[in-house]
Amino acid sequence: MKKRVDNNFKTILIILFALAILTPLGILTQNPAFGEWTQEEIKKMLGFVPEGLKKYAEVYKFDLFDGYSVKFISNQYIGYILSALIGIAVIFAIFFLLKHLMTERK
Amino acid sequence: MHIPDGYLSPQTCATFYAASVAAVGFAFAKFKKSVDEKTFVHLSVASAFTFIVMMFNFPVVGGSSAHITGIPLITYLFGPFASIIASAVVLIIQALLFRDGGILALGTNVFNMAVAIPLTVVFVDSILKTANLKNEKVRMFISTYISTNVAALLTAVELGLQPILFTKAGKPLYFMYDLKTTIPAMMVPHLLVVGVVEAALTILLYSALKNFAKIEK
Repeated sequence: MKKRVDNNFKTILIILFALAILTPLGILTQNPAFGEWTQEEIKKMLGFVPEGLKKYAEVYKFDLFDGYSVKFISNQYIGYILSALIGIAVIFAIFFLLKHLMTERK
Repeated sequence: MHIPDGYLSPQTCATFYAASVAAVGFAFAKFKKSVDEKTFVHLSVASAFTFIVMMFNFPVVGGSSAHITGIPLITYLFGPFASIIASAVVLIIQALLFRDGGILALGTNVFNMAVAIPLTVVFVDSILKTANLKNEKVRMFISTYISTNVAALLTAVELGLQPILFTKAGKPLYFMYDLKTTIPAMMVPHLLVVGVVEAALTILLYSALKNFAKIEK
């Protein structure tokens, strides 16, 4: 049983990795998502940026991986794939930590 | 569907933070009772899958783009509580690391997707079961389709209420288009395209993955 679990897990990891490589397909569309515009886009649409929107839009400043790009990598497709892999790695790290925190206390 | 910062008033953000913390906290308390090592494998796989699926944007009617969430699928595979936790983690990472969805808006985004979708799936599925709809795939299609549209409607209403509730000298303070614009703009693509894609994918991948979920249990 343990062996089958490991094999299954390995298959899932391979699938996730393959999907990560394919993620650039997700930015082939140039259409913006409704209600996810930048301040410049809003200014173009309305002629102004609402006061409150301007005030709160930039409260969070961390932009190393802004919009699934990587700051030092100019190729947006490679940045997107790297972001996918970083995201997956962080997710696994979080649950690995959580597992240790929650099962050791028992 | 990921609302950025500045689009919602602080009052709206605070309200949905409270609702999301309560809901995710409840899910976590429930989840903790049945926890073993395998459940963490479930959670990490479910989270990673949801995260990656949301990166596939595709063009939809009306000149905008959208993506599915994968949350209905993980709800069917691992249950609502694991699904709420897994998708909440995804939304937190998306906001903190990739600036997809705001920090102030995070409570609202968690509510719309991580809380509302799994609960709608479970709720609609149980109604259909009570109504004696025996075909699992049909139930799955209907529940998933409705859950995707509930999330879109919540987003549309939250955004569309901003210029009605919060203005200064006749100008919007936060999001600028009211319900007359946001509801059709969100609902037409989700009713016609996104809901159908999400439902079809849920059925397809559920049959492929249910063995994984079972063996892991």
